[in-house]
Amino acid sequence: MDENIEKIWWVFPRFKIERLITGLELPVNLAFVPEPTDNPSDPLLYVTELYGKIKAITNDWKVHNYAESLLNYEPNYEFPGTGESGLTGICVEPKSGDLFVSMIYEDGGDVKNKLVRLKSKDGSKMDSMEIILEDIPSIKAAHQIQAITIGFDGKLYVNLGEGMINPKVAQDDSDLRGKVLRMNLDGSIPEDNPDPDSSVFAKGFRNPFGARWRKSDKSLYISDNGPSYDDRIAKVEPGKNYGWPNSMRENSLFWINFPEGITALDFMQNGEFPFGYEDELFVAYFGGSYVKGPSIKGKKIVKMKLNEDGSAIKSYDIFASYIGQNAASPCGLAFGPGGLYFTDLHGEKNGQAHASSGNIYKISSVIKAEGEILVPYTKENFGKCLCPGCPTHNECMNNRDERLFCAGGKTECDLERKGCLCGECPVESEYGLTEFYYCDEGAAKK
Amino acid sequence: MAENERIVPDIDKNASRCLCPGCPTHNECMKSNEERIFCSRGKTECNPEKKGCLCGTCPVEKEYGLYDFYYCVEGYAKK
Ligand code: SF4
Ligand code: SF4
Ligand code: SF4
Ligand code: SF4
Repeated sequence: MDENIEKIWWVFPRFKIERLITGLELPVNLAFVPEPTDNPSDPLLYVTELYGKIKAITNDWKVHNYAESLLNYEPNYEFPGTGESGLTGICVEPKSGDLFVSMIYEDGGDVKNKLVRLKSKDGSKMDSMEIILEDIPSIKAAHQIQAITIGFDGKLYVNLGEGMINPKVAQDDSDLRGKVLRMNLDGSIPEDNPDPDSSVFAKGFRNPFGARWRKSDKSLYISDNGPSYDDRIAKVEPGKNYGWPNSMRENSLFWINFPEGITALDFMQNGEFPFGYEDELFVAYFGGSYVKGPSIKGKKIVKMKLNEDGSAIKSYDIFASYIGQNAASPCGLAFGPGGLYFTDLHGEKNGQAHASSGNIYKISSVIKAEGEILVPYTKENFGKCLCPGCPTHNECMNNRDERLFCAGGKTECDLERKGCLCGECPVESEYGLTEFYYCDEGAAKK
Repeated sequence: MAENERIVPDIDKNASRCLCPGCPTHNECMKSNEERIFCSRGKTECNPEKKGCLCGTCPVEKEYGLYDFYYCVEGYAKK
């Protein structure tokens, strides 16, 4: 769609970025349908637009106006400031395809949070709305109701910001602000909650924008934005206190002292990237709420490897970074078919956000590019590959654990050709290859 | 076997270009005997375990138009 895309986005080696959709109005979060059909006109994903719209995107990548005018007030485009709030969290209920979305609303001059369930006959246009949760005090300054997820236990989990004005409410068990809530899908309180009379699941949060469930330990992970210090990521466990307003580090697995506006997060847990990235956590760092050009704050996506019990990280890399001249920045993020998708809230048009220039991008692995490469980059082929014993396979390639070049493409290490083992490799005979030196020449193509 | 069946002459120029010493199949026994250029000298008695073969990219193989592998196990290249 944009031939100059690599001039505005840097992505990790062996990945590529493409713009799938543009012209969105402040796209905040995206949610994929858990089990999409093959029918081109059925929904594939949904996007919340901050000022009260939802777009449905069908399998044929057509964009539909699912819902409009969901806010009952006139938003003011003030970034940073009172323009940062609105319609944010979204998740798709797997059985019905209904949407749960979170937003703020005005009630006689007060600003409040609510969570609603939206129904649609064909998934492309909203037919009805049911209120699940409402009347929770809020503010037009980001610390509002945020991410919604459905857990492996089928319950609804909701991140609630503490509302900024009185952070102490995050410690008040009788107040829902500054909490992660756990509810039945109709909003009632499950009997097995930490307190069976309360929807509070965990407390002590500030502005927990993102949430995602990790398959490998069946746990919920959230992002939470600090004040002028400490953005963090935490594994949320029942009844635990996460410290705010005293601390942004309590029970957190990771924090950055210099805050970068951590927004959405997701795990690579359905084979969207090569197996070496399995279970890595990808996190959007939004940065300042409206900053033109590259910035030391945010405007990037990072990836991290967690330890087994999710109590700390083992590695950290920048995975994508905005290097263009405009106000673009990643906000929502989710793995979907064949890659990592993210929303770019402001996009490439200058002059505040009235321009409707928000985008959806996809980052995919070059290694996994379907249809072009002959040998699949699988764990099995990786195990059979003879490269590690090859005299051409040098220290650099060894340190990076690179092999299976016939599938993964050439190395970026400098190499001296000292012979090639490909000719007698079981992978080569299985796929009928006849060449040598894939580490230098690139992957075997169809 | 008649000497004229042998394709690759056992000369220094070929022995020095032979890739066998860098090959993962080239084991301790072959190394201690300084064995190489099996396409000319014939198979080893060192019982190597096949771990891949470099002959396919060897300049000697190319020069004599060979296309086989594992001369250290199969024996020298014949006409
Ligand atoms: S053909 Fe070469 S690169 Fe491919 S798996 Fe075999 S040894 Fe590795
Ligand atoms: S592709 Fe061939 S030359 Fe390169 S490391 Fe693998 S076996 Fe060796
Ligand atoms: S073809 Fe094989 S055995 Fe013959 S010289 Fe080359 S590497 Fe050595
Ligand atoms: S003949 Fe082939 S397998 Fe045997 S040592 Fe030489 S390169 Fe290795």
